[in-house]
This record gives sequence, structure tokens and C-alpha cells, in this order.
Amino acid sequence: MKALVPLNNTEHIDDYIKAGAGEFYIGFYDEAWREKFGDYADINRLTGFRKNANPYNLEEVIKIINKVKEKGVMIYVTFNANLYAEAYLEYIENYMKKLKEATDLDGVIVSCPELVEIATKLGINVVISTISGVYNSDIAKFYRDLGAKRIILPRDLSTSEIEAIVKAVPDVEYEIFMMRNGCRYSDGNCLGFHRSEKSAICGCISGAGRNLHLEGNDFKTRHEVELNDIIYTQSFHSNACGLCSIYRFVKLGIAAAKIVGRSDEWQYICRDINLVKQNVEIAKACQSEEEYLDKMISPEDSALMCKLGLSCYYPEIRF
Amino acid sequence: MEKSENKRVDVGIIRKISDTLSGIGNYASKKSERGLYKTMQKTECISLCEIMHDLYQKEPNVEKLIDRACKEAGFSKCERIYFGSSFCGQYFLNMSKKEINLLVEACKKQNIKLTMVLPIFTEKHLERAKKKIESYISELREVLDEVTVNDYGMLVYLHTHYSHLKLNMGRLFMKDYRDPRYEDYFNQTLKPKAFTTYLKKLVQDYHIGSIEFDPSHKSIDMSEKPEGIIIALYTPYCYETVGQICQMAGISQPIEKKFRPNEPCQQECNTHKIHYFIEEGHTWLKLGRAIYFKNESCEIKGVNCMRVIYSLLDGEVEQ
Repeated sequence: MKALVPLNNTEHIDDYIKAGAGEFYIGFYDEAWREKFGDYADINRLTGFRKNANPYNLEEVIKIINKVKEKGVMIYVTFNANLYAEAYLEYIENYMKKLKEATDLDGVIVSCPELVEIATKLGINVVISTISGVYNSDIAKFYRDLGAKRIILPRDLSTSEIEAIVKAVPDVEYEIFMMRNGCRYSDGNCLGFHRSEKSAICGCISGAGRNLHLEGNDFKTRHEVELNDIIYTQSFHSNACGLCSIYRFVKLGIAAAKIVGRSDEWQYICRDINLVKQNVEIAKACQSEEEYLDKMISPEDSALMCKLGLSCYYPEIRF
Repeated sequence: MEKSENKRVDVGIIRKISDTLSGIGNYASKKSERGLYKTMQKTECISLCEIMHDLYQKEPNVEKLIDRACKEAGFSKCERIYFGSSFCGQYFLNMSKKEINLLVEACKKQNIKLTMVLPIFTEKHLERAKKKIESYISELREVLDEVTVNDYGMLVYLHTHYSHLKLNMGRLFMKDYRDPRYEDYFNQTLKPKAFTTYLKKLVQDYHIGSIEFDPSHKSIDMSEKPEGIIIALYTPYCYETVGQICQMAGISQPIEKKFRPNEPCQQECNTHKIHYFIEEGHTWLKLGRAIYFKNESCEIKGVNCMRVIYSLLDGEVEQ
């Protein structure tokens, strides 16, 4: 299982690789696209964060891909906006053609069947983004039959469900979420903007005034509901980690563990890459999950992170 | 209109009739404005999705409940009722047989057809859901004549196993961003991105009868819709985000078990809701796993006939 890392800072490619990055993913911006389709049309899920998340244009990304490939590391390009209008598809096809002609990229991360068809027609490996919401084996079969090589499973699935999907549809690779930036909602069906002008709707709601509507208004009921709301909005998944699940995923043959955070500082990304890499090696050497859980390296801020499962992608491992 | 919808076997004729009716008409979902659009042929539908049990608690007489919904919606007659869930597998699996039987009896008496709405089931519930779906299709066949699906896996499954069944594409397929906090975007006339060549082929291949939308913008132009498709609009609330993790299900759990994806619940969503104060001009609501904002002024352009699906969510935030 390789650590899959967002490449948002090319100055530190070597730092990422040294830390243990096995694969990269990268997006790009295009001013011509923006002029043509407007400010609210996305090439990928983080287009709204502009150069904070996608600092490079296509030409620069082509050079970066070639540089990364020279170093023997895999790299994917993201086309994972929520959906694409018909007019967008021609542009995307041209982007993919250029990438195919000018690089030896390992694949594209796409979010809808339209792009699977375009990429497979061009002979580019297809990774199904978490935006596609592959929550069960029937959906996995649908994308496998379309030509997907790898599927990124949603972060709001349990390890037992991931295991069941992998076993039911074994002839594709799988990728799971591992580190940073938890989310309370489904990547595939969260349709509020993720842009630099305002916080995402989840963040906005956390700080909003509210009326809790309850069936009973006795102290105990109100206390339980209000406490639940406080924990949910203030403590749950403000950061996220899946290190405890690594043994299970290594044994399951998961291809890649995703470290998210395209707009995060490189030092933190490197720290997380290193943790994943080391723990994968520990897991491979362990005979049981109990042994792994005993020997694994915890996150640096475990005194805060590892409490009550609130920062766990897969809390069922420990709690 | 509803009669022609029922004859799916003669798809070509239906498409011609529907397209003849498509054109210049407008529909505004705001009750006070509905009278302005007398040219719009609309099938008046009530949605009990997500809230059926709660509504029954307030009004156990289903016929009175339907009357109340029609009054609230400004409908002359309810022609179709949607039941089930767009968002939550737990909700769907936990629906009470007794309550569904009450609904069926009322529908028989009033000659109302039923649409069963299916959420995306995660892997652990997929087989159980299929059994439940099978039993509903069999037992409710006198009134149940179509099913709304919300993922590609279920679309393929139902098309393969129940070829006689009319299928609709649900609101989770329509992934245009919606976010009224961005006024300039919200005030645009949306041209749904989903109307691609791929979708049009899918509609043909899977004999899709209707495509469901949320009132995501000030207006939506449906003129590029697939040929023969009936546009259905949920009103007056637009869903903005949803996930497999349920805040409400955490209420009765100890801290370390809270907020697990798709874990069994006590159906807390029946009795607990949150009304948020985010931006002036919109009511925001968390009901079950989904967050909605109210938009009762969504104008539909480019079609002359459509379904209006009125959800009784206003009662959920009344003091």
C-alpha cells in the first residue's frame, strides 16, 4: 500500500519522495477555461480555491509529471469536479490528449462516467474519484465495467464495508482515505461550494445560530441533544487519521492510502507521509492486528487526536 | 399527463407528446406565484420521503394528511405520492410496514399512484435493501408503478431484474452546485450540466421516465433535457449536502460510538431537527442526514409540463 500525496509544491518533490510518497496526484488551472465557462465552472474539485490548491497550469503540470516520472514515482491528474456540462467535455478531452501525448502519466482521477469514456478511449488509466460515491459493490461493478482501473472509496465507509466491496469486486485496485481533513458529509453529494470566498457549508453551519427542535423539552433530552451537537460541530473530524487501520488495509491489498490537503503546508504533508510509510512497513512485519496496534507509530499530536474516536476515519479499529 | 406517463411500453409516443408540450412554459414553485403560470401542465405530487413517520404522529389519518399537504402546496389534487428516502438507507429499511399499508389504502381510495424512492445503500445494507425492494414491488403493485434510484448500481440492478418497472433518476444524480450564500451564482438561470450525450443515451438504454431536481437556483432552464423525459422538481426545499454520517443518530450513543457511518439508529430524525440561521433570505434545515435550504421561488423554464413534488418540511421547523 503506497502513500498517495497531493503535489502542490514542486520545490519539495524530493522531500515528499524522501518521506515515503509512492504516488502523487495533481490538478491544474486554465485561464482559457475560466474565460470560456466562467468562475463557477470547475476543472477539478478544488478549482474554487484557485492557485492555493492548483498552483500550476497544464503546461507546467506536464513538466512536473515528466520530472516525477524520471524519479520513478507514479502520478495522477485530477478531473473530479461534481459534474461536467457537455461543452466542458471537449476541453477535458483536449487536456487529456495533451497529457497523453506529452507525458507518461499513470492515470486520471475522474468523477463521472462521461470522463471514464473519454479517458479509456484515449488509452489513459482511469481512477474513479470519491466524488463518484462508490458506496457498494454494485456501484463498483458499474465503474469497473466502464473501464476503471482503480476506485477511490468514500471516507464515510467502515472498514468492514470496504473489505466486503474489495472482495465482491476484486478485479480493480482500491484506494482509501488515510490522513488529514476529515469531512462530515459525502464528497460525492456535498453540493455547496468549496471556494476561497466563504467557508464550506459544513464550517458555516458549525458557527451558525440554531434552533434545536426536540420532541421533549426536558433537561435530560435537551442536554443530550445539545451536547451531541457541540461534539459534532466542534470536535468531530476537525482533523482525521486512519493509521490504526493500516494493518487491515495492507492485508486486504489496498493499493494506495490517500493523504488529502492540496492546500496544506508541505511540512505537515511530509510528516503524514512518513507516518503512513513507517506504519505500512510495521504492518507488513506483524502477524496480527493486535501486534500491529501495539507496535504502530501514533500521530505526533496523539494526546489530542487519539481521543474517543472523534478524529478517526475508521474508529471501529480502536473504539 | 399522468396517464401517458404510465404507458412506458410506448416510449416513442410518450416522448412525442411530452416534447410537444415542452417549450416555453414556466413554473414558479412559490405558492403565491403559481396562479401566474396557468400554461404549465403539472402533475401534483406529495413527498413523504424522510418524514412519513413524523407526519403520521401529527396526523394519523392519511387522507387528512394528504388534504393538508395539498392545501399547503396549493394543489387541487394529489396525483402521486413519493415515499422512501433519497438520503438514508437506515430510514428506508426502518420504514414501518403498518404505516406503508395505511398509505397504500389511502392511495387506492383516492386513485393516487406511488413512487418508491431509494437512497444509495452502503455495502452492508445492499442485499437487505434488495429484499425489501422486492417485497415492496410485489406487495404494493396495485399503486406502486415506479421507482426512483439515486445511484448507477441500483439503476443497473433494477433495470436488469425488474424490466417492467418505470425508473426515475433521483435528485442525487443532479450534482450542479447550489449555494445561496453566493448570490450572483444563485440568481443565475441554471442550465443543468447533467444533460450530456451520455445521460441522453442512459435515459434511452434504461428507459428512464423522469429526472428529479431540487430548486437550486432562482430559475432553471430545462430546455436541453433528454427527449421525452418528465422533469420533476422537489419543492420548497433544496438539499445542499448529505453524508452517511448522521449527527442525530449520535444522540443516544456514548461519545466513542457517535458519528459512525451508517450505523443503526433509534430513528432520532423523526423527532429531532435543526433550524440554522446562516444567511438572511433563506431558511436552513438539517433533517436526518441532509441539509436543506428553502427556495420557494424557483422558476422552471423550457418545459410546458412537469411534476411538482411538494415536501412537507415546513412543519418540521415550526415552533
